[in-house]
Amino acid sequence: MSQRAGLLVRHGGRLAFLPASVARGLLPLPRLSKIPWDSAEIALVAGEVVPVLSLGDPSAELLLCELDGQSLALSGLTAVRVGFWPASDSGVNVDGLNVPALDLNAALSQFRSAHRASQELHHE
Amino acid sequence: MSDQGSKPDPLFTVSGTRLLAALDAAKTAASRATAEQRAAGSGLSQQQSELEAVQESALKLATRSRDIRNSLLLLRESLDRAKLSALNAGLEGARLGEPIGKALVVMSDEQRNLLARALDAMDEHSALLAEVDRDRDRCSGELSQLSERARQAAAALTRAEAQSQLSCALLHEVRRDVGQLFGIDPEAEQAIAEARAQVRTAAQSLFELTQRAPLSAAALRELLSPLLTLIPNEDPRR
Repeated sequence: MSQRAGLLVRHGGRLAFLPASVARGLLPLPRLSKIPWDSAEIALVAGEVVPVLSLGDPSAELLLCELDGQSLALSGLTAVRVGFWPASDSGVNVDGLNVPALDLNAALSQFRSAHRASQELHHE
Repeated sequence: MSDQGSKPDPLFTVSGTRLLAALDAAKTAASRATAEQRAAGSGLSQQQSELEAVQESALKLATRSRDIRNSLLLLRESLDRAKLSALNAGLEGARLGEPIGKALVVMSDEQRNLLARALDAMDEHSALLAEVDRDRDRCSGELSQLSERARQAAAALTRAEAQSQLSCALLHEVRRDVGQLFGIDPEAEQAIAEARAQVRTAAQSLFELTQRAPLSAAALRELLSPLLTLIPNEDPRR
């Protein structure tokens, strides 16, 4: 069985897997700024403005990711472990427990629709 | 009480003397009570000062405790960052893939485990410190109560001392009034008693002299006789 390298995070009380190709690094939660008339948040990370996708209650850390060549930060997660684990259908198998991969695309779509809704509300 | 112009009844005079003696004893007791109250008040004031010193120490302890808490917060922040660094090192290893990155991932995992234990121990320390703080707060509260009670007791003793002093003054006045009532002048009585004592001493000395010089005994006896008449119940033949 093939191995997958990545990061285990706790998200809403459950474990989720993020591949090492997506998870770039962790840093203490910086100050987050809201964009006016928008649901989006941004943060300044190493001199670069990064959009922040909130996935839950605020935690003390920010996970920096790279998705489709774009930098993106995730908040509301807690990093648990890094390692190599056997791949499973939906994610990885950690000590006999199936840990699903975090569906970033779905989260991003949700964020985009919320963003669109807030934009439309503003134009009305 | 005796009629005016007549000689006072001896029984009446004896009663008056006894009453005056009782008043004297009461006055002495009141004076002693005043002195004891003053000493107790002084002791209580000292106790209060000591309690205040202990309270001050408790306050210093609170400041130190706050400093320790701040240090622990700083330590926790550092450990959290170290944990993130360990995870980041592990992520680098994971990106490198097996077998090159495996060692880095294993090392980072070990590091993360150690840091997690350190964080647990620190949480335990924080909980213990919170417990110590609660105990200290309780002690501080009890010390405040003790100090307040000592202050109240000292104030009560001061009031009691003032009352005792007043009692002394009143007893003195009552004694003077009773003396006047019974026709006894306490000051004159005291002077007479002192004079009697002096005469007794002189008579004793002269008597001893007659024992040493028997020839002049008769002459000295003549000298002693008028003196001895001044002392009631004294045998002039001695």
